[in-house]
Amino acid sequence: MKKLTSLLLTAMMLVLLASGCGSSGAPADGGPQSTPQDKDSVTIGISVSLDSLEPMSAYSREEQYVIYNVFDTLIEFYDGKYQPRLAESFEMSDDMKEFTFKLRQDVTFHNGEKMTAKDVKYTFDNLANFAFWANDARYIDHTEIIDDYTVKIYAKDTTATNLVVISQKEIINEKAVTELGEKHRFAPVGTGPYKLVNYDGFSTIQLEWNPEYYQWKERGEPAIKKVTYKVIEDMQTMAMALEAGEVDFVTKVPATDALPFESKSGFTVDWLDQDGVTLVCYNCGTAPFNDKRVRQAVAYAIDRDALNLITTEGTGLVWDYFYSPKQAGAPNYDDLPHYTYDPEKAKQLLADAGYPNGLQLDPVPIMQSDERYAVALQQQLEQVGITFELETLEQNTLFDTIFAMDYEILPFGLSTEIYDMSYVAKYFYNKDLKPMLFPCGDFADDQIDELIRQGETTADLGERAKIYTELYKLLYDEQPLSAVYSRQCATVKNQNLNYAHPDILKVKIWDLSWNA
Amino acid sequence: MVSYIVKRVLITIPILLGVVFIVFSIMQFTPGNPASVILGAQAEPWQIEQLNEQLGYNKPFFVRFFNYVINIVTKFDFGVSYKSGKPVVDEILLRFPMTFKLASISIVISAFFGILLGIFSAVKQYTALDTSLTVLALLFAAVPSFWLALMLILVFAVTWKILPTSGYGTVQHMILPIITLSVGGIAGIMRITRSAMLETIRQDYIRTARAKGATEKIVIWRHALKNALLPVVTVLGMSFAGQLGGAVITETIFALPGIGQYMVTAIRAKDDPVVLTGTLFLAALFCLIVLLLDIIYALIDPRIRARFIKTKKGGKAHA
Repeated sequence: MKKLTSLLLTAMMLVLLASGCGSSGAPADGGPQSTPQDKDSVTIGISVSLDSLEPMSAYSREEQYVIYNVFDTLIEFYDGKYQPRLAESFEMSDDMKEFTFKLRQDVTFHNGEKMTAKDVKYTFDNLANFAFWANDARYIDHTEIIDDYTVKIYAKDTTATNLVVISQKEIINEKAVTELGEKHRFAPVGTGPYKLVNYDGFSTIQLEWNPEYYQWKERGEPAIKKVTYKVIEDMQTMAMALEAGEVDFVTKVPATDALPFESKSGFTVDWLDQDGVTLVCYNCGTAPFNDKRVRQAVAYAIDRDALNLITTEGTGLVWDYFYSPKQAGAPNYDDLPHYTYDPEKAKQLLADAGYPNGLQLDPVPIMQSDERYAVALQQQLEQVGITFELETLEQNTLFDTIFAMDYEILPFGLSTEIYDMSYVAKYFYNKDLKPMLFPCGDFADDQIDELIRQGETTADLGERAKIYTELYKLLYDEQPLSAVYSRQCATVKNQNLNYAHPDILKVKIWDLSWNA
Repeated sequence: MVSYIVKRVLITIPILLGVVFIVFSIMQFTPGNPASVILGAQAEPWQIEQLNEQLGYNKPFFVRFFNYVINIVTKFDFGVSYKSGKPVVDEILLRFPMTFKLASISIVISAFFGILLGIFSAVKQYTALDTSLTVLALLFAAVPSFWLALMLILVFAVTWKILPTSGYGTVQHMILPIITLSVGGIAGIMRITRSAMLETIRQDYIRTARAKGATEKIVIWRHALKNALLPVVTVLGMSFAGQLGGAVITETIFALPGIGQYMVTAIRAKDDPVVLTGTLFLAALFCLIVLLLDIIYALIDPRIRARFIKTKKGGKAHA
């Protein structure tokens, strides 16, 4: 027994000793309340594993967080307009099919190669060869080098999407991509303000500032010169890493995880809008929702404020149209008509449509993540006589169900993150451009088709806003889907870390700095 | 013994083929496809079709299955991940050391404490110690691993700040994940050891040993424990095999790049090459562990060992 006890005690001692040995993996002293000693470095948490650090094969938004800082585009849609980046100026023809870019002459890639028109041509000529860019190859016809620093891009058709496509393509270095091949995926060579110095293959990416970056002459050197991205897939662990001071900044934090930080000292929570809109979608091709009165009845039966409160604890934004005000050409929300919560009107519309005793629908497919919203919606629609059971499906099964249009009504959410109105407008377009998850069944309206086409082919943003205003007024009446609220996400950060221009999509490291 | 081992290795081949076929079939019949997972909800049908074509996903079931098997046999090529484009076998071999380290250390700790506490519990049957240890075992078995992991992080990393919340690279990073994995194992091993010991202690040869004047220490540690170890070894082996493929929750919460978490991500993403190769790898490991268990049985139990020994006069080995 004595030997056994001493054996146990020895084992415990060894464990305690081991915890004191080795390089320190323990969090920084002082935790989230203090400014770290390295004021030129920051650790950013990412909640999804990264499969690529190059723009041509990066599918997830989280990969873009790194790519936005390592690469650069010709122009960028920022603060409501297209601003010069690698191109110091550009001209667009009236039919939106020819784009002439004059490139900056002081840009070098991280491997020392000077950026010239050849790299721009290489980028746009090879869109079809890169998995993530292949979809956009159908917009670009060819690229012509005028001189070393002037390049002309020709699009195939007249559409506002052309400029969006061009503005979203990071310029890649022909030499680096051809020499490195697949290795470029995790050893990217860009022109951006930061360059990759280390990636452990799993969960830690380290960037350092690029002293040769052309914008430092105008902006001055950045406050943050070293960045570490830490991948922690579990949000609970990420929250604790924030509390322990191992991570300084996390973006796109879901409302339920961000809310507790509002009451904790040492943290700042910034709410960012328009990550996506939560909807009620209708299969407009089959009864009963092929009758717009039934769709309008549901729109009147929804108490959007209550749904927002129940589902997001009030962190969402009541929003009854499917678009983002940040999109190019977006209509003014206040110029549009809005549905109010009016259950009596809803019952009347149902009666007019031939359902005076209400409706019994087939089981409604939902994703588990939408359960809370769906249950609240179910209870609200019950008040006007529309009853149904809920059927929780696995994501892939749900997508198959939607693709087969095997539903009558669908509580669902869609992202509005794309920067142009034409991307969301196409969801209501009944010809050719139906996306995989077209949530409105067989919705079709010639007038709406015409307005979508006009919006796509008009260059002037003011004119486009007028067209989309008219379009959305028609959609208000037709209601192929009913928007409920816009989901908000948050950035959660150490209170001593400043974030100059909070953005949910593009976290630019040069916007971060520590308090002195 | 050698011929027995060779036979066992050869039997493994059709087993692995069967496993691959079953998993392939299941993946085929589950909804979704890799392109729609990769491109997301807002992709267009032709994009999905094009990417599935590029990935070879549109080929018929048996064509894909036979191509997969033939590539392994002729070129040792297990394919590339649909999602990352990296060779699957490289990814698995990169991740395997982490999972192996986690599983092996936690099984050693589970075995040490489980056997020890099981012996105490058996020797002191129906006493307060036995009752306390039984309650402890139930508690350990009932606690969900994800809850335990988060509580450990909350206490040791967030409140006391003596260990990191997640990640890998140092000894400190491994402490909390190993505790999380070990706790459930201790409960199971403790109970099986107790049960086996109680059965063994009641045997006639134990009574004989006591009658011959052996001390209680020798009776328990030399005679009883050795004979009680067979079922314990079985449970240890199965636990180890299970942990190699099943430490998903621990790996996810502690952000450890292990095989379990890699496989679950691949299943969700319909990344067939990863799922198939990972399953094949784990099935092969499982077969190896079962073979090792059989060898260990022979080492522990002379009755089993005798069945493999040839007679001096050149008689046949008894398998």
